[in-house]
Amino acid sequence: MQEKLLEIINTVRTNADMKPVDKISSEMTLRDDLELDSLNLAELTVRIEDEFDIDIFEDGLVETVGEIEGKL
Amino acid sequence: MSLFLVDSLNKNKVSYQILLEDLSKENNSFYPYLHSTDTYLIFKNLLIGLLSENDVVLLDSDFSKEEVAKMLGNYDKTKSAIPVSLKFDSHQTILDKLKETKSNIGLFTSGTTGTPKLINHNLNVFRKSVRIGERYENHIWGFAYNPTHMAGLQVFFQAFFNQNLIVKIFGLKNQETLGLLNKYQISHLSATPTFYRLLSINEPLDFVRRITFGGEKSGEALYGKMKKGFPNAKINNIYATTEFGTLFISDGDAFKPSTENKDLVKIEDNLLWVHKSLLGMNQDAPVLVADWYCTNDKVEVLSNNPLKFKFLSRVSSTVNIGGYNVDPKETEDVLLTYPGVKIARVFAKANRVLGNMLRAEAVAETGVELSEKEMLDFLKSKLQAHKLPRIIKIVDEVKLTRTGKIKQ
Repeated sequence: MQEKLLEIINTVRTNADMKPVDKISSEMTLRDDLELDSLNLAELTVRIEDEFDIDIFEDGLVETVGEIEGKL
Repeated sequence: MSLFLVDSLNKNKVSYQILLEDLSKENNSFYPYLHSTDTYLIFKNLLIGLLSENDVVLLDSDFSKEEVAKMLGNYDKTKSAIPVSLKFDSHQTILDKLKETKSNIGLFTSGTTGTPKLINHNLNVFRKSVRIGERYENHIWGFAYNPTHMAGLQVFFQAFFNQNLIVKIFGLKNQETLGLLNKYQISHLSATPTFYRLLSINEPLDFVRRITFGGEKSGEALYGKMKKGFPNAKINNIYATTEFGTLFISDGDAFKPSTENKDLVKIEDNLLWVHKSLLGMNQDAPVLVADWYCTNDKVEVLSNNPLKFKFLSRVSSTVNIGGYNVDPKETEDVLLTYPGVKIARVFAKANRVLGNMLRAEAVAETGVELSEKEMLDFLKSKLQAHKLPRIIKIVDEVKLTRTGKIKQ
């Protein structure tokens, strides 16, 4: 599951012309560490929902990778 | 003299004194079609234009060169300059000259036909909502709008006419944004609901006195978050359009026309209509039905006497994506020009982060293998970021309606 999440995050990053990351850790923040802006985050939520059928923003703002993992 | 603008992205800190000197240069240049990412340059150029009685056309910095060439005829127009010579010895003399200007400010909006259309405004449309006075003197603005859009301009003129500081807090990392809010003790925040949705607040910012939303429908969850993060702030929702400026301001999620406007607003079949006298000047006259203009906004009436209503949705084909009005058809038309795409469908889906998000489906010509990344890169070179579909699915067929039209 972590692998799939990493894959999705990297898809979003490469679509935004950013280099893919080698690994992700729970404390990494989506906005600052992974440099995702609002458009990237919107894309991330949809790709995760398409793959895992879970709306990660359902209960409000999700800030870290760990928080996403917690919901999956 | 006090600070005018703080733009940390462009490493710029400009005082009102420097601005005064910049405006009073002997050999100044005015760019009628400036295309720039530098916020100070955009504001300065706008002022030079207005003060020298020249019309100004505002272009979003993230319009692609192709989009700009399509809108203006050719991209070189953005480089053309007019020599201008002005002299001011105080901020007040600048304001006095501004009040007299007859020049127009041109803004682009997503028209229903898909290509952005130019709307011209006299400064009065913006000045209409500007409040000047002692009580506005010490406001410090957190600026999170695009300076070439209606909402951004409203904030700019409010700040400028009161000699307030504007701190740009757009496009920064969360920590930097919070840092700036604290450093400058920002009292007034103006941004789209998407901005607030993504703002991660660690400790309540009790120095913020007023928050304005605008540009999108906001929801209960967001209000809750705002009240927690900004416990001393009054929250206003602004209903304004590129075509007509600010029409209503509300407290919370419900709108009511002011007492002078109450007979100039009516609701018919849950659609909001406004009387032509509430509308500003426009280059293309709006379509009126017996002196009334239909905003195409669906509303829910909360009470009739006094009239109070909530906005529900728009009836037109444009959708709101993170504060921007986008027409999916415009994106679809561009995607169809990609070699190898036989049929394409671009549509909006509700999204918690941006309000709405664009997705696309594409069918390849026989024998062609399409790549999502390549199509995205193609679209990126032609369209602004908010108009891009975030996901393009390559499919075997796209759903058609009974009459053969592509199903929305």
